[in-house]
Amino acid sequence: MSQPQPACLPETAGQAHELDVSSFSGPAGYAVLGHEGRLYSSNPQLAVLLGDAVVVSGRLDSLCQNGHGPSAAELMQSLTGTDDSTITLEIADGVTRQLQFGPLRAHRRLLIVSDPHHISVQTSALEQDTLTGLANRHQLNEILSRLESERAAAQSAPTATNGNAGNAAILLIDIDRFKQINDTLGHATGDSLLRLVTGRLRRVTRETDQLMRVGGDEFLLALPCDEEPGGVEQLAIRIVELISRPFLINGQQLNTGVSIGIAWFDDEAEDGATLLQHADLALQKAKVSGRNQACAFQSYMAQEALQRRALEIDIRRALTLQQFRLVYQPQVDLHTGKLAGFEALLRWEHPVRGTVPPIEFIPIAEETGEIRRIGAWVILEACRQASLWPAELTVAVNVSPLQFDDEKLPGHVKDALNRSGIAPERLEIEVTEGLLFHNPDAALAQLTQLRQLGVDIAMDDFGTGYSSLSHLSRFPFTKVKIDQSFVRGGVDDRTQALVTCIISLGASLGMKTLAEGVETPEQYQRLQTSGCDAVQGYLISRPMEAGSTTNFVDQCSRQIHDGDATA
Amino acid sequence: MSEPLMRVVYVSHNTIQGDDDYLSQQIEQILDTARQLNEQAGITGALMFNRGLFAQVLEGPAAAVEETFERIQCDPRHAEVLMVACDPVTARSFDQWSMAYVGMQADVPALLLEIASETGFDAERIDGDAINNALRTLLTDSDGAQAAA
Ligand SMILES: Cc1cc2nc3c(=O)[nH]c(=O)nc-3n(C[C@H](O)[C@H](O)[C@H](O)COP(=O)(O)O)c2cc1C
Repeated sequence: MSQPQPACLPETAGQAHELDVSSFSGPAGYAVLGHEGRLYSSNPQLAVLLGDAVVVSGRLDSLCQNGHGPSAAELMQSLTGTDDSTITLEIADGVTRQLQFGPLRAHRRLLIVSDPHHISVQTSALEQDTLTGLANRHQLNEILSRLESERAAAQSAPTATNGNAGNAAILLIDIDRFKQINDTLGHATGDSLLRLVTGRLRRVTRETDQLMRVGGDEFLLALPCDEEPGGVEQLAIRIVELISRPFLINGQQLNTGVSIGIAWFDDEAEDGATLLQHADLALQKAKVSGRNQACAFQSYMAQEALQRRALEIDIRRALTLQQFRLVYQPQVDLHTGKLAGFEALLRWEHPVRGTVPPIEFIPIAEETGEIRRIGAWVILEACRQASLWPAELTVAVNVSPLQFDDEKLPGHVKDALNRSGIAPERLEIEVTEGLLFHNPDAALAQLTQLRQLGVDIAMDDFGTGYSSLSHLSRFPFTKVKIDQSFVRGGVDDRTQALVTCIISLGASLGMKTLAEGVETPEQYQRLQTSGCDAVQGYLISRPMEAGSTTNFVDQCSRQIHDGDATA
Repeated sequence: MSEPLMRVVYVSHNTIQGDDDYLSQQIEQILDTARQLNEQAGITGALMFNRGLFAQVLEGPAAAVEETFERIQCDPRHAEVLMVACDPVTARSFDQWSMAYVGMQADVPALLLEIASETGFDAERIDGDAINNALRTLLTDSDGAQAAA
């Protein structure tokens, strides 16, 4: 909030806070004038609307010098008055301009010049949404910059009249699950809903408010700065309640809701673009907090967004800066007790952040799409490492569901096999259940291609998600990895029964089973007795650096030769 | 009338604040508007008010019912609207009333509404037909109800 200012400051005292309108955008011309008509600042649009003469001479009274202009007396009155006043003047035949004068601090006057013609065709075809009749995105900038200049003007105005003015606010209103409604009930129903929502929103907005449709299912409500404290939040809550009431469309009841992000002009948001960003961040919060609610912007949201941006940028650079590396966790064959291979695991070492756990950066890399580049590197690097091991050892690589989106995965795999020279059977691609929901058709096609190459496919973390048996049989898995939660700690009878069941299920479908998280000899024994094919876990070894793998391999073969198998 | 008919039954919470006089005055006003607009739109129906709850039956041509229902939805004098029935019908139940009114003195619907409030406004358990039929019986059997065309 701006400091209260005495209503009448001497000319010089006000200068530090002098309103500068030169950067004001939008269709209106702006100028700060002295009482004598001198131009202190103006925006480029002013010259466009009033002609260069005014700007060149630096005086508004140059307008009086052409035949069409206002009388000098009329102009003088508007300049020296303390109230708002409006003059309409014809600057050429049939070309009129509206000049609005308002008070500023320190005997300054704010002039807003508009083209009345422009106002009347303000919502021209392009700027109007044909479905709802609301202003659309094309008008967004204009409305934001109007809010911005109104705010600037209000801040520079004498406090006697504007001291209590609250800050202008915007509400970003998003219809919950609109896409779903459109997809399941049809576009005609979706359109009707948009019209009805518009109607309800119109009911709670005042004439001075600006309602527009800024996206398929997104509305923006701009509220000028005359709200009483808490008024904006109350309005938002009212809108949420109103839209949550049932709709009746084509004889059918339809229930939906809206999420709302609220943002105000304040010290953190001094321009329209920032204001919009804040409203958007607040909207995202409202959505992740469960939708059908309003959420006001708070500065921590901007900080979170900044941190997140910074993390995104760091992830994008990490590959080039060689901050990623792979570590390898050994897998042991339960039938022979021999080392079978390794699972490659991604690590990110950032110079400032330190070691960032995969759960923190993988989801972001997935969202930004960076995962595809990272994923391709992981496959290549793992194959390269495997080429240094004895030819019977395998390497397992985790692949994100997102890596199937651009259909380049089989190509990356082929490339990695060629460049490393390892046999395809030594590579195992691990996918999670998420894949089966994300884009199952594309996944199935590419997994089939990979199988045709001779690469093995493992289903990771089996039992933790929504695993269904039909998935297991439909996809060309060669292995099922039993999640460590079924293995670790004291396993009760039911869990043991489940593990046994997964093992025999795998066997009957021709799939191998590998249990993760094996920590004790008892667990090892139990899995061996149950018929599990392989294990992985701290009992054998923690994940190790690439450089240590060859040593480990040597050690294992020596132990075998000494007749002293692991565990 | 050849246009297909539709019937909507809903229950809602009264949000009108004030003493009984003010409440009656507001309901009077709702009924005045309703009767006038419904007649123009070809809507008939019944409104019941008791213990802070409204129940309303609206019937008429589908488009008119939808339009009227939407207008009523926007009314701040009630909230937590719950639709309990929304069906095509072959005949009207209240063809003599642009909006019949059953107020506090009527016992039967009051009971129905009590059930409604006890079920925590569970749409599955409130029977729209039951409300419709109870109102209809009440209005046709007794002249005590303040029915008006
Ligand atoms: C419980 C309740 C029932 C109502 N029933 C009707 C009705 O049957 N018909 C109607 O036109 N308006 C009815 N109204 C009034 C409408 O909500 C609305 O105020 C009226 O139609 C005037 O519309 P307007 O606000 O667009 O001018 C009802 C209001 C309430 C609170």
